[in-house]
Amino acid sequence: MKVRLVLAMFLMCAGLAGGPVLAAEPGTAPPKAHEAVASAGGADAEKGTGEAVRILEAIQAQQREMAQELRAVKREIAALKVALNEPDLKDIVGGIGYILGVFGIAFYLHARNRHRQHTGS
Amino acid sequence: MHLSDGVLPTAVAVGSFAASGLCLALSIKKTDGEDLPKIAVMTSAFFVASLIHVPLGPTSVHLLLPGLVGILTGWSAFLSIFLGLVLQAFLFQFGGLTALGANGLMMGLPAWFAAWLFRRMGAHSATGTVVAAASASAAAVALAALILAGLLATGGEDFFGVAKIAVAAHAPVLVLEGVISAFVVSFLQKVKPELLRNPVRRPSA
Repeated sequence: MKVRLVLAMFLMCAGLAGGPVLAAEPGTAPPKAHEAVASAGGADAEKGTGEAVRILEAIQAQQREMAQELRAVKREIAALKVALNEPDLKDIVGGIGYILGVFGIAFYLHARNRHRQHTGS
Repeated sequence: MHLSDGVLPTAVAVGSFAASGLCLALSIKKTDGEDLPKIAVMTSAFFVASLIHVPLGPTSVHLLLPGLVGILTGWSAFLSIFLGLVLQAFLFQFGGLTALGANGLMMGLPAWFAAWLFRRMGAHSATGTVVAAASASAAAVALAALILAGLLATGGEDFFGVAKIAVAAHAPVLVLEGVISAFVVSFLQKVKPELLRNPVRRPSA
């Protein structure tokens, strides 16, 4: 009987003490787990962060490269816009053609009039 | 030295169109039909000349050639230059269509002035003719700059300010056109001197 009581008391104590312990476990466990992991696989974690930094640097370098290329493309587009407004050979030859055509017609009319006057008189 | 759309007040643009029209009519009336091929060639030269850019510091100016056109075509110069300007406006987008009248006056009147000055100087020696051509061409460019300033002054700009800038910007063109005209005229003198005697008074056939 006395042994039973002692056992019950012990269990109660364990229960009372176990409550807080169980409640505190989520808060205290992660650091413990982390420490455990860190202490267990420290080399692995180091490798992981190093890789992340490397990837980040690679992305940044790529971004810089892309920005540079984009700038070059934009410059090229601006130059193209300017070139588009500048007259090319087609415009020049076309314009000279217009001039010769207009004066050709004028000269034809003049020659026809003169011919008529010539043959009329 | 092309005026763009919207630079001039509407009244000035319309007025310069009317004045250009009158000058054009006079030019056509005074044009001898026998000269048409020569005028066509000079029109083509004028049309293309404005594509020849003279680098000038950060910017560049282009040849104008009103003087040479005037010297070689006389009264027909206005017709020649106006047609060249019309095609430049349509094909090269040089100068606005509404400013065509003003641009015609700006280039056409100096051409006539150069023609008048060239005949007036009436050089009798070969060198004298070349000098007359050079100075008439240079004067034409200067006159064009002054007309530009005058036209802009109607839009509220300060005449002397614009005139100073326009003449200064075209100083290299002025010199270059003088040189080009001198070369062309001295060449023509040797090869085809009758081209320089204008207006051509042929015995009527």
